[in-house]
Amino acid sequence: MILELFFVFLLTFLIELIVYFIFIRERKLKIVYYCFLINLFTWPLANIFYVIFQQFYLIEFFVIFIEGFLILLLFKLKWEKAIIISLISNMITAGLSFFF
Amino acid sequence: MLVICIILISLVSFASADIIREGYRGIHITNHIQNLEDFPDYVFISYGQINPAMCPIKIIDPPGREDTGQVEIYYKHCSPSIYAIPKDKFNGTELISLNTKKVLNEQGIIDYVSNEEIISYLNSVGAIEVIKKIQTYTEVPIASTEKERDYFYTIDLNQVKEIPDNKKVVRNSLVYIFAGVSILALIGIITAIIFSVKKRK
Repeated sequence: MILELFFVFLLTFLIELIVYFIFIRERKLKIVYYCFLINLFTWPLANIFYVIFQQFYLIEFFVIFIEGFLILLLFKLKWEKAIIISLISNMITAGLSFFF
Repeated sequence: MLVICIILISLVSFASADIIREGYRGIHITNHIQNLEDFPDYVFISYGQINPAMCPIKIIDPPGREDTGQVEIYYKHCSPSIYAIPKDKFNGTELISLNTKKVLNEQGIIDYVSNEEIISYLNSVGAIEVIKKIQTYTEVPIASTEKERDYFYTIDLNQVKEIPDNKKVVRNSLVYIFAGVSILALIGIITAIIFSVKKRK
């Protein structure tokens, strides 16, 4: 079970990382580090809240908002771009969760 | 019309009997009897008090099974009692056959043996009730970290116990791990933000 969870986290992280690489012009290592921190913060919390409230879309909405805010703070981007990056990366990972 | 309404309402109440309350989830309670070996002259059974079809008679640690003193899980509305039956009066085949035996009841319908008949049979073989109304299922708030519970009983033939001597709650540690990881990541994020602010200065 732990391995399965680790795999899901890794997949989420890698997909979001690709989106970050496409949209953010920064040092690659910095992008990897910040993307990892953002996912490490939101992914476990989203899972806990999903178990408690079972509100997938509401939780995804908050995740998009929080990740967007963190992208804005860490990469110092415009808020519109930060939200778009967060929206795209989370839409892909949320969409994939329906298949797995 | 009124009759149809009453039937529908009663059907709804039956249907909801199996539904878990909103905001809650069900967990199993495993009941353990710790000192079965102190009573070598007795056989211990559990019976669910509603009727044998829904809450059947079960032998605790039947021959061939390792002695665990563990009471099997019952349907959530059963509140089984534990009985000690003297070995010389115990007839396993006859006892277990009561679970499936059908008789013609007072309404002229072929039905399972009633609860009263089971109790009367148990009295006839000198069964002693040692634990009353044990729980094998409960509901906890959905946010609870409880995964399952273990209740432990020490039997005394001169006493009917209603409360376990010991309780153990098994919790889902993954919630704590997830929360811990999130906090660590948040610390990392705050540190990174502070560093970048300092760097700009």
